[in-house]
Amino acid sequence: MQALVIAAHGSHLNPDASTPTYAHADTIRETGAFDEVREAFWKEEPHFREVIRTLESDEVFVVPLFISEGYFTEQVIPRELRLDDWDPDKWESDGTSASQVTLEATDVGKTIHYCGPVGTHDAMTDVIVQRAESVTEDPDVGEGVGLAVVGHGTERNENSAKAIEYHTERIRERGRFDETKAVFMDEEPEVDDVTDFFESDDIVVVPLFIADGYHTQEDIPEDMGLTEDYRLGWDVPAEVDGHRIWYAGAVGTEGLMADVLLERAADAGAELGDAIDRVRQRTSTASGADGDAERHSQAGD
Amino acid sequence: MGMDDGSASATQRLLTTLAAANENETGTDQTHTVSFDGLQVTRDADDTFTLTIDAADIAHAGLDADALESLLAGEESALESGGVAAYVTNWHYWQETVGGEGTARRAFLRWCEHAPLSNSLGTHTGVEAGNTGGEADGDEQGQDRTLPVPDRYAALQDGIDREWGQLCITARFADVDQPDGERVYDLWHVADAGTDIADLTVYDDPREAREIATYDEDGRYRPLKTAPTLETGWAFTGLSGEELVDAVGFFYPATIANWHREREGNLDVDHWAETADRQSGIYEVVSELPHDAVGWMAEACCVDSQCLRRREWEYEDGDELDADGGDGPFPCREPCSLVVAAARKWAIAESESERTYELELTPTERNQLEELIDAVADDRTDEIREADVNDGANRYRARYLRAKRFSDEGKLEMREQSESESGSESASEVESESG
Repeated sequence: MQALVIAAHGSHLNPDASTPTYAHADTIRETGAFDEVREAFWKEEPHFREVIRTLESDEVFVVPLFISEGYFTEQVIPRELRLDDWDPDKWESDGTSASQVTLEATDVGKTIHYCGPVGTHDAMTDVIVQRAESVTEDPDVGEGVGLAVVGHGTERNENSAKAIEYHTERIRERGRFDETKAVFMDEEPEVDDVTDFFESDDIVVVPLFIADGYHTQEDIPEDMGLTEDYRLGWDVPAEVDGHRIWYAGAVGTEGLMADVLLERAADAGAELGDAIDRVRQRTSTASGADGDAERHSQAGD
Repeated sequence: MGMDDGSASATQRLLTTLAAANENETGTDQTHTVSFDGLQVTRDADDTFTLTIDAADIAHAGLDADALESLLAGEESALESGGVAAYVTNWHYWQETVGGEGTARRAFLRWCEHAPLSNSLGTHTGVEAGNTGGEADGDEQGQDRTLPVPDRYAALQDGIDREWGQLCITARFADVDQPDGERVYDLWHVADAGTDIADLTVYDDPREAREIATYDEDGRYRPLKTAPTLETGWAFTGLSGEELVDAVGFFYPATIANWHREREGNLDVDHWAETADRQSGIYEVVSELPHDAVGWMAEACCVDSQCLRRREWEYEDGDELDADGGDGPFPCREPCSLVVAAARKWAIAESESERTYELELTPTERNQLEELIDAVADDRTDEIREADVNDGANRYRARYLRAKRFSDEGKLEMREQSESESGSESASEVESESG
């Protein structure tokens, strides 16, 4: 038997924080590729600490639903899962290249394939592009359009910016959008000035965040000038400084994220049959772009 | 032979199992036994069979295959007390449908119908091994009796109810008219036990439990799944055993796994000190929380009125906290993330030194402060009637106190006494932190 555990942050304050986690877990459940699929959280239940013991499978694939390699993926999750032999060096990563390492969870004696975060997987590039398709409702979006990928920045963790730049570069190389740029919340180039960095009239803005919350639903919309007060909502597209801003909200809510989770598990040796193809087929039409301007989310803590 | 399909197929499966066991052995003159919940069928070396059910005073030896089959399927109804067929369909349900030997899932489903928990293969070891049942099964409450097959079969006809936190679980036969041993499970809120099913919203997908568990009846987010604030008005009906365990897992994550570990004697409790030492980042500070404060925290957060898990962690091994740990069926094996997050707040707050403040209050106003704190602590503010000015936590009463005793800056007026001199000359107005 094999199990998939999706390890996400969750929130004590915001019930929406776990919504994408549940949605992607359900997509994967419906493929039947795993005998068991579990959501696990740092701030909700089941906690990382107690999730493995809820499984009957001997072989467990743990995929962090996080954007970058850093504090949570390198320290918190392995510690809470009791992966005693874990060492970040075992990923042999340059900051965005972690794939997996096989360990044992010492409380249950199960084999744990501890995977790199979804945010740094190559398949994530496709999710960002699809998010742009979703928000513009244009499956061919690109020509005459600029794409801004928004990241948190380096304040907490340098790998966070690396992940943003990695995908931005991959999208740029494809030549699909007239311009593709990385912008950040707490470092230059800042998302506040997004219109300064683009010549295109239309700019699609995709935050590389897992869930909608304080940053994606309050901070960024106000900082970009989409709205004076997030509680009033904003238009999609919204007119700012002579540009039309198509603000997508968190990329992690895109249905295709389920594919990235599966790819991570497959890279770690999970037997998935044709599940990846089926999930791609099911989620490859743009989805989940609700703009959601009325959302009154609070910050996850 | 007058038997129903379910009983017939259970009989065939049992015979196949006996035969298969035979083929799997190299020596052909081995004996082979199916032994479960009081039923014992042995294929002897001479290819005859022995059927024994001690509890029903049934013992047949030297049976040929046809005679055995006839006995197993039985002329008797599966329901009849002591009927052989009941034991056969019972074997089939547990060994073929449920399976999962040694798993928490199986143990929980056994518990749901008061079946002996560790007597799965008829090897009567362990405290709960009652072959014929009727023994206490080691439950903390000491009221958890196990039932032998005929008693369970009679009870499953009407349904057997068990409580798990605020959940009520009913185990019953899938087909009451022609019970074939297959069980299904219903799940609802204990407070809805007397509610007509027609008045409840009925679900059948365990995943719907996630949504129900997310908000309380006032629509507020429930970050703590085991808080006693589960909303009412719903029911899951006709769940399979696996679906029941999934649904309970969504309502109360990991409770079954930890309950099972506790029963097996290997619950790995992490006490406060260990849990605090493990924290990092912004939570590293929680290890500085004073010993007394850990006790107040447990009293504030972990008693049954706040969380239905039974707190098994203490300050550290051998150093117990005074607060009541609760008496629910499922244990709490370490401080949860909510406790750790709150502990951070208290650890920082407790690093402040105490001071002496001087302020003017009438006796009624002093009492009112206590009533206000109690009303919030007991989550009673919603219940206080608008015009009930006798209640100190009434809104008008609180607004009056604020109008009278707060400064223009919105702070409670008081003076802080310095340590060296007491008396009001030296006092200055201080700001409360919560302002």
